[in-house]
Order: sequence, then structure tokens, then C-alpha cells
Amino acid sequence: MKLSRKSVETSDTTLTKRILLLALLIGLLLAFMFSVQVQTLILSSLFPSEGRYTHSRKTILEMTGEHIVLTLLATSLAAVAGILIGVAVTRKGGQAFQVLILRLNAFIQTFPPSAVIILAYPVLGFGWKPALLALFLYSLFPVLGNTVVGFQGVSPAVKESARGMGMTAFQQLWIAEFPQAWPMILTGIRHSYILNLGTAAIAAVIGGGGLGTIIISGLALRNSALVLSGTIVISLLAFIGEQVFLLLSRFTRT
Amino acid sequence: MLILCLILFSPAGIVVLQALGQTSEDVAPPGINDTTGGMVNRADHQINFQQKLALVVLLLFMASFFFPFYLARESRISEDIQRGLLFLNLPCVLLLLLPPLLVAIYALLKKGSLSDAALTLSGVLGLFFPMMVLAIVGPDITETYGPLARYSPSSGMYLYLAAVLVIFLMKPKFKIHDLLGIALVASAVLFVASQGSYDRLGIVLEGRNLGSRITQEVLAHIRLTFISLGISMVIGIPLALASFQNKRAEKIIFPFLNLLQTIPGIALLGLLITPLSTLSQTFPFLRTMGIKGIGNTPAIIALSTYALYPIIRYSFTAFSSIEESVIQAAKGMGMDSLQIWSMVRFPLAAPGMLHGIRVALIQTLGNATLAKLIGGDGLGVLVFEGLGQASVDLVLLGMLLIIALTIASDRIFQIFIHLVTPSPLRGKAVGNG
Amino acid sequence: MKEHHTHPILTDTHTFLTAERISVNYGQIAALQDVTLAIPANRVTVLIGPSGCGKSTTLRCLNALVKLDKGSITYEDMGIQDLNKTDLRRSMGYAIQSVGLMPHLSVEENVDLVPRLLGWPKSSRKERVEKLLSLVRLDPAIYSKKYPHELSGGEAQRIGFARALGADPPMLLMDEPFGAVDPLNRDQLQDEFIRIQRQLKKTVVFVTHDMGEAIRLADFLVIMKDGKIVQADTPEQILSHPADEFVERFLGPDRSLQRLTLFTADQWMEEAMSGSKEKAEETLGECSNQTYWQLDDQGRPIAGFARVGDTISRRLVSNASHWVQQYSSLKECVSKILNLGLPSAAVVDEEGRLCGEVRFETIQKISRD
Repeated sequence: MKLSRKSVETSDTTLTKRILLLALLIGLLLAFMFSVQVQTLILSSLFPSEGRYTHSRKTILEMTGEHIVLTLLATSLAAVAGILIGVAVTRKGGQAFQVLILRLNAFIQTFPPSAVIILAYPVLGFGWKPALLALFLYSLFPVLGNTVVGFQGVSPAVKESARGMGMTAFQQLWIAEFPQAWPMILTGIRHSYILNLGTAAIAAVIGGGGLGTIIISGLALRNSALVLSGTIVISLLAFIGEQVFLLLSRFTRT
Repeated sequence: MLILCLILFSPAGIVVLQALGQTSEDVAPPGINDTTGGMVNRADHQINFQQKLALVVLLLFMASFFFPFYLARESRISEDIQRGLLFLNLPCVLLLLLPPLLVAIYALLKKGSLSDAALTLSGVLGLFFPMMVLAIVGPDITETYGPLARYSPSSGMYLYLAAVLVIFLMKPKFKIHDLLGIALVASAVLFVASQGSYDRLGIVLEGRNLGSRITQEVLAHIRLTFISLGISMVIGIPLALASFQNKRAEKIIFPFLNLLQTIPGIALLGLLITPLSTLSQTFPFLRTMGIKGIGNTPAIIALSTYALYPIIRYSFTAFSSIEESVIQAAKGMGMDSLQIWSMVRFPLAAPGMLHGIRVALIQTLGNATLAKLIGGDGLGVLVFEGLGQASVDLVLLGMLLIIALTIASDRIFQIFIHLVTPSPLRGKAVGNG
Repeated sequence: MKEHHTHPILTDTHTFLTAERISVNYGQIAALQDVTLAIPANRVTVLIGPSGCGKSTTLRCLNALVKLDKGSITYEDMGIQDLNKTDLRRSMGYAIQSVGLMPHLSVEENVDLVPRLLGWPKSSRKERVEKLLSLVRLDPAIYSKKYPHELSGGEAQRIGFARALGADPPMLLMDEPFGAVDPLNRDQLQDEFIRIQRQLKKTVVFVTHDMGEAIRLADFLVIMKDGKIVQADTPEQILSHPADEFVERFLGPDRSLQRLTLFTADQWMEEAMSGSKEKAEETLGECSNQTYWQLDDQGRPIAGFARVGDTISRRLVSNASHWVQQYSSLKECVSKILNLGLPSAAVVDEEGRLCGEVRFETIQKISRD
């Protein structure tokens, strides 16, 4: 919703604050990722008793890279598929499938994310592709659900007047309905991102790589510092993601 | 393969042609100002809907036929030998084709009891026949592949079962004949199993290897879950009440909970190792109690922490959504604070709280899988041992047991909730599950 | 103007489009049964009837939002069914009760939607928007950049109207466009509508459930019931010769008062005596059917003087309940006459300056006919 003049000013200062925060977080992340010294510094201050602070075979940098790629890929695929299916299901021809989608959603929700990833192993195999598929399938549903709710919430008067003034079906969707549904859709994509970020940590278990590698290593070696190392990066990525989404929502605000 | 495609495409083709023939009419829903009836050719739309849904299911079935149905291995660590439809003998193939055929029949029939029967039958048979195929293939495995050979379902079968899942999701309600059908299937499968047909199935072999360990781990898993849930309830419900009473408490508790949710499960487990170890080294009596850095202790702590979120959130919502007018009426009647809590607030909030506990239960059962990673017990032991040994069947066995446990616990708990809820409040929507 | 049921047609202008024997069914319910209607060009056709009578359905058949089960709609020898739907709709303005402005677009972007869909170049679009906003008396400089949620109900309805006029369509379809505002705003919107229609002379099909509004705005009034047309004629004819008991009851008991809404003040006003205070008595003389209006230095009436028996009574003119606009109906004139207790009502222009008066005596004469 558009803001009155006063709140526009406040929101501009919030905007600057937010961008600064984002820059800070990214800075922290980069520092941590690229410099073994920084890692050792932070970790040793919290867990002085541990001997090891890095993984024996991979660097945090590599793992973070794998993790980010997996997360972003899964989230983008889920976003695209979720929006497409969500649009299809809210059109006249697709209304019939809404019930099915709802039930599928409820069914999938009963599985915790870890279960879905682990199930990917017997069904799909070992490696990053099964992990990606599992992540994609699971994070599809928040986007899909939100897209459907978003489109259902468009006021009938808007749809009626769009139709009556002679917009084609595509124009109705793009000009009248989509901007209304967008806030909800963006929220769904954000949920998917956070979900994927956390679940990708388990992907290491089925060979998906990523920050789960160092966390599992820490568990096996009984070394909390290693676990923290991975957790710090994941948390930073989560916070950065939140800020990016908030900024996105601000800039695509209608 | 070609003949198969032809057989399959014909029913699917008919469905597609029919579906395309029905152009979506430009019949608008009654306008905002128009109050004449909203029955916009519902009858026509129903037929369309049936066919569209059937199309989706048929596509899934068709896809499943392109993938191997089962795989065999000469020994536990050998390579997989995938076996598709071509390796199945004719009776098996026909059995597998029957459910899709029934779905096609369902699509072509007008909506009514006959079409419902076709759908139910296709669903039930869709569960039954793959099991039968596995039973038929089973006894020959050692002959073909050697004395140590074993076999497992493969991607094709999983796709097939996914199609069956969609069939069950399509049904408006579960009626008696559905349950009857499933019960029949279950008993038939058990009977066949007792004849030894499934003896070379991977998960059966692993199960035999583990023997009594399975029961052990199942019990351990249940124990872990309930202890964590108990702790979570004892801590969580008072916290929910505190947030409800006190705005400041709310402002502290909820953001903290949100923060906790962003930490992945395995991370939380791992982070507890060192603090707990240090703790138990500093206070030796903790050791004697069994509280160590690894093992079940950190698992219970982590599981309780995650279970807090649904419990607190749903309890909080349950209390917050009690209408103020009810409380006012109670006060007006002369109830004191204790009575209001025990006779009004708690009973009214009970459904919401119980729902929160149910969500926490399901969540914790799933999360308990990870306990093995820090040396805890539970069915995760099977899963991770399987992962470590690259034994798909072990992992599958573990996951199947966990899923079965989850579904069973969920049903039992739902029955419990139903019995405990005061009857006027039954069936009330409790918000997002 | 003779046959009430099957071929309603207005004879003082050509027909814009014809609906022949159209029927629409929603499942088992017949929303429209065998309706035939000829929409006259450059006139306002009002469809009215109780809830569920099919008036909105008829309207929405005209721009193909509702599919006909039987019958046809013809425009200049072309069946509407054969035309491309979106093109058809872009050639008609469509205004609905809940307006349906796109909440995420500014007023300017909303109003120029149809020109944009039609591909008008940017400069002509901007010009058009300014012209339209001025037409509905909303200052473009202020309103162009506003967003729908910042508008009041009345303003939103005007924008909706402006948007319907967007690409200058020959025909306007309006479905209870003034229904969602309070009575005061509604009267003003009706005034505006009349003013604009006099200027633009569009072919309008207007749906309402408010009899007063229908009588005021209609050149051609179509009364419907249960999916059929009960009577279709000019409002005067219907008011003086209702077809049956239903129409009589539907018109309501105040037929003569309602008839007055057919006429506007500027059609019946006469020269009024006016000037400064002192001249009142001598100018009035003996006549008791006129008012002497005292004006301020801008020409606006501030008091009225009239002879009542032996005395000259004086009434202060201070607010809108004491004067009428040029497009206000005679019914309103009666109301103001009674408000002030003077024999005539002052008619003012947009600036509030006196331009004439409507005398009660004149109104009585009209009613007698």
C-alpha cells in the first residue's frame, strides 16, 4: 500500500538502514568464508578446547558455494514451477485441481524436511541431483500454496472490470491480477528459500555436498566448533536472504 | 514397448480428445450485482474435471512404465541391475495395466456410483498388484542371480505408487469400501508374505539381519520422542501462557523461537556437544545421571527445543482466540480467576493446544531420526547405518518404519483428541495444520 | 411505444443495436427468457426491476460477458457473437458498482487503461486522461497521481465513469454505477451524469434498482421481471400509463412526484426579479407567485422576499438546501420551495450566481398535464 508522506520519509531511512545492514552481513560472510584466520579467531573464542576448526578436505568457501548453488537452484525452480502451477490452478480451466493441490500440500507437510531428503536416497539415488529434486519437490508447496491464496484474494470487482473493459486473458492475469497476488507469492518464495537453506544442510548426508559436510564432520568427530562453523554461514545466509527479500518487496511494492 | 504404448495411449487418447472437445465456455460467474443463481453448468464441469484428473493420473502411470520396476543385486554390495517391464512375464504386465485401464474407464463414464466404483477399484488394485508382482518375481531371484541375491523396488514402481497416491487424494471422502479394500489388500499381502514370497526382498533381508534390534530401536525412538515432547509441554505451555498474559514476554519469546527455527536440526544437535561435554566434565554427578555431551541427552534437548515452537504457537493462538465476551460473561456470573481458568479458558483452548501437541509429535518423530548422528538411539540408527554402508534397503527399512510409526501415532493421537474434546467443540477448525 | 412486451422500440432515433429473443440459463434457472429489445442510439436506456429480474444479465449479454443460450444480438447487421470478444469490449465503456479500479495503479494509469490496450500513443493518452478528469470535475493536477485507496467513494465512482469513457466508446454499459455511495453523493453523481450525457450524447445502457434514479436518467425505461420485459417506454408514458399492477406497485405511490424528476430546472426556469434589499417591496408589488432575490456583489442570492397576504416575508438563503443547480430536477425544486417557504426556488449556475427561478405555480401546471 502506498504510504502517506510522513511514512515515506521514515521508510527511506529504514531503507538506508536496511541496505547498510545487508552490506554488513555480506561483509561478515565474505570475511568468514575467505579467511581461515577469521574462522579460527571466531571459533576459538567460543570453543577454545577444540583442536580443529576447519574441515580436512574442503574449505568453507567450497562448501558454501555448493550450498548456495543448491539452495538457489532449488528455490528458483520451486518458484517458477510454483507460480506456473499456481496460475494454472486459479484459471477457469484449472479450478478443478485446487482440491487436489490442497490435499497434496497437507500430505507433504506431514513429512519433516529431513525425512524427504533421506527418502530421496532409496528412491532417487545418491548425489546432488537427487538432493536437488527432493529440495525442489518439498519447497514447491509453500510457493504454490501462497500463489493460489494470493490469486484467490484478488477482488472480484477488479477481475470483473478487467474482463469487461476488454483485456485478453493474459492481460487480465498480468495487469490486473498478478500485481495483487505478488506480495503473497514473494512471501512464499521467501519461505521456500529459508526452508531450502536449512534442509540443504542435510543434503550432505546423501551426497549433496554443501555446509552439511562440515556439520556432519563435526558431529562425527564430536567437535562443536566445526558444527558452529557451518551454522554461522547458514545463519548469515538466512539473514542476508531475509534482507534481500525485504528489499525486493519494497522495490516491487505496488 | 511399442505394443504397450499403443495399449496405453488408446484410453489416454480418448480422454484427451474428449477433454479438448469441451471448450471452456465464456460463462461468467454471476456478476457482482446479479443475484440470479450461481449454478453455472456445474454438471458439465464435473465431467471435465473427472477427465482432467484422470489424465494426470494416466500420465503418471505411463511415465512409470518407462522406468525400471525393480532392481536386483547379486550381493549386498554389488551393483544394481535394473529390470523394467520387459523382464516381467505377461501376467505381471497385465496386472499392472489393469489399474490405469480402470482409471480410463472412470474418465469415460458419467459421474455416478459406477464411476466411483471404478476409481476405488483402481486405487485398491493399484496398491495390490505391485505387491503381487514383487511376490511373483521374488522366488526366482536366487535362481537367476545367485544365492546371495536380493531385489528392491525401483523408480518405476515409486512412480506407479505416486499415481496411486494421486488416485487416493482425488477421492472426495474415504468410505467404508475404501477401508475394506485396503484391509483386504493388507491381509492378502501378509498371507503371501507368510508363504515366503518376499524373502529375497531387500528390506526383509535387512530386517532379518537386525532381528530384535528393530524392536529395540522402535521402542527407543518412541521413548526419545515422548520424553522430548513431555519436556517441551512442561516448558512450552507455561511459556505460552506467559506470552498470553504479558506483552513483554511475548516480544521476547516469539522472536527467539523464530530464530531457533532457522537453525537446521543437525546444527543444533552438534552445537550442544561441546557445552554439554564441558558441563559434564565440570559436574561429574551429571555423568552418573547419564547426561553427557553425546548420546541421548543432546538429542532430547534439541528435540524439545524444536517441539517448543508448535506447542507455544498453537497454545498461544488458542488462548488468544477465546472471545472476550465469553470471559466477561464468566466474570459477570461471579467466577473467580481460578475458576475462569479451569472452567472456561482451558477447556476452550484445549483443541488448539492439543493440535499444537499433535504437530509437535509428528515433527519430533521425524526429527528423532537425526539422533543417531550424535550417538543417540532410535530408528535413525538404521537409516544412518544404511547410509554409511551404502545399503539402500536398510535406509528404506528405517524410513518406512518411521513413516509407519508417524502415521500410527498420528491416528492414535487424533482419536485421543476426539475423545478428550468436549463434544460441542469437536470438528472446529483449528487453523493451519 | 405501443407494444409493451415483444418489440419495445423508441421512435425518435435510430436503433444502435438489437437483441432478438435472447435467452440465458444458469443450470435449471432461466435468467432471461425470450427477451427482445432495441437499444436506441444516443439515448439513455435504463433497465430496472426487482432482484433477479435479469437486468444485469441483459447488460452483460451486450458485451459478451454472458453467453447466450438462444437468440442473437445484432449491431449494424453483424451478430455480436461473431465478433472478437476482447475487441468488442474495448469498444464499449463498462462501469460497475464496485468500480473495480486496479489498486496498484494510479488514477491516471487506471483511466488510460483502454486507450493503452488499444495502442494509443503516449501523448494522446495523457491528453485524454486530463480531459476526462476535468469532465468529471476532478482536477487532473491533484488526482492524476493519486491511488484508489486514497479516494472517497464518490471520487472513485467518478474515476470509474471517466475510465469507462476512456477510449471514447460509442456505447456505455453501466451496472448500478452509483449504487455504492450515500444518497447525497448519488444525487450529485446523477447531476454530473446528466450534464455529461447532454454534452456527449452517448448510447448508454444503465442498470439500477432505484426507481427515482431510473426515472431521472432514462430516455427509454425498460421494466423487467423474472427474466422478461414487462414494460418498455419513455418514463412519462410509463408513469402515466403503467402496464399492469406490478408496474404500478413497482413505481410506488408517489408517481406524480416522481414524474417531476423527469424535468430539470433549466428547462422550466423563468426570469427572476433581483437586486438590492431596498427594492424588494416596490418590485414585488402585488404578485405572490414570484420571489424577489437579494444578491451579493458576486450575483449570488443571499435572501428572498415574497408577498404573503399583507406582509412581505423575508427568508435567508444560506446553504445548498435553499437553491438548485441547473440540472436538478423539479422534484428538488419543490423540496427547496418548501424548505424556504417561498413561492419559487432559486436556480444558480456553477459559481452560485442566480440565473433564474422555478415557480411553484409552473410546477403545478406541469403536474396537471
